[in-house]
Amino acid sequence: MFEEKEVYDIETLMRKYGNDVLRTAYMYVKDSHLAEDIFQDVFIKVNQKLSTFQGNSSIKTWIIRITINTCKDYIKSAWNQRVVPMSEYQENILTSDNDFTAVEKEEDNKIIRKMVMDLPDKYKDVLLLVYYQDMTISEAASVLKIAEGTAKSRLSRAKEKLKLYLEGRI
Amino acid sequence: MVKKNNSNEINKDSLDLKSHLDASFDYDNIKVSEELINKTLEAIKNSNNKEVLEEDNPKVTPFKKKSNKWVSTRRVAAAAAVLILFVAGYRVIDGGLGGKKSDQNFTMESAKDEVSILNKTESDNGSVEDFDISNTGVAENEFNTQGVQEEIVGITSDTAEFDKQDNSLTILVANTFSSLYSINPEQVKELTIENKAGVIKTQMDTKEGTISIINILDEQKLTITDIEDFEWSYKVLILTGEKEGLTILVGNGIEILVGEEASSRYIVDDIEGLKNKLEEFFNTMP
Repeated sequence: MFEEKEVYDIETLMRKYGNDVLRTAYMYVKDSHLAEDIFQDVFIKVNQKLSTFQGNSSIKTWIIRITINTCKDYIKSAWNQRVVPMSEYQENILTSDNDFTAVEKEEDNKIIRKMVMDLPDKYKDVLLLVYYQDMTISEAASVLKIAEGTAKSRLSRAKEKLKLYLEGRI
Repeated sequence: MVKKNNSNEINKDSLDLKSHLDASFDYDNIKVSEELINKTLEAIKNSNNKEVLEEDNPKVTPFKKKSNKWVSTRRVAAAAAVLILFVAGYRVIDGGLGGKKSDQNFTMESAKDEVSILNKTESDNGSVEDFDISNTGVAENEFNTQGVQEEIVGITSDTAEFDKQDNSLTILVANTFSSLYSINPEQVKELTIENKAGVIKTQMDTKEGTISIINILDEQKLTITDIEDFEWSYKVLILTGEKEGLTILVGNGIEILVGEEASSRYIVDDIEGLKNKLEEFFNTMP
């Protein structure tokens, strides 16, 4: 039986995996405008290379791999480091006592996000792929081009670091 | 079908990272908007049109390497480093290895002068890659690329002084930071250092700071390497102009980027010592 090669439409891919791309990019570049630039770059590349996609991994894995590589190229470029992104944390305006609970919870979420963003790249890579993108260790290792054992130990170390960072903060 | 939760899969713990992150992103409205999708589709369309245009009119729109004067600057810097090595080696051979310590002052200043002369000529002429080094005593050695004879650069300014020096250059400064990368602290407009925790500090006294950084780096000898697994702990950005300068990444080695181009990675003898010195300097920054 022949398996037909799936045909992907770029807009459909953008709508389906756009948030994954944008949010993953944000975790690296730490600025929403820069993340949007990365988003555009990624989908331009996806569109250009779609015909070469072999289907050895899922299309999402492939797109996330492009995203991470694009982010790393961006970060590596000296000139992109010149602009220090403005903090996007907004002050919470509390209008009533009931807001405190929601704000407190939101603060927890932000702290966790900040802690993950501040992890060294090699730990952040694997943590995001497994815990945020729901990949298996094997898939994450494939995306990062590292051995599964390495991915596993980095993930374990990432969790340790994260827990250490979060201790006493939440 | 591959079973998702295979034996390698780590049981997702109670942290529930995904939901925390998603909630945080939702709260800050970090999500794909219709506007972003439309903008991206437009960019893709433009990108496709550009490709078609290039295919249809290869002569009108030939492939052109991204114009970047840093590429040629790097070539010149590399040629200058080779030149310095050659001259120094020649001196060593010519004069023997013995000598006075005081004469080792040739070192950085002479090297930098030569590099800066070459760089200046390069910037004046665009792509000068033809150096006549007759005045240094090695006239028979000429770098000639593509037969272009745009300008002959004579390294004359330091020659007289150079000749007075004893021949005790000993082993070379070519693998120190200063001998490979020419920075005039007077011209530095911005000096920032970022540590791996993402803390970015800016040095107000750029001249003093740059000298300190150069001194710290010059304590080590840089040996080029091709290591791939590079993690940085400190990122030093030294800008001499809007798009001119160096990025120096210090981690398990040193990576130096010139302008927008990735440059070279090096290993040093005492990377921990270097990082400690950088940390000390970083801590003194406001």
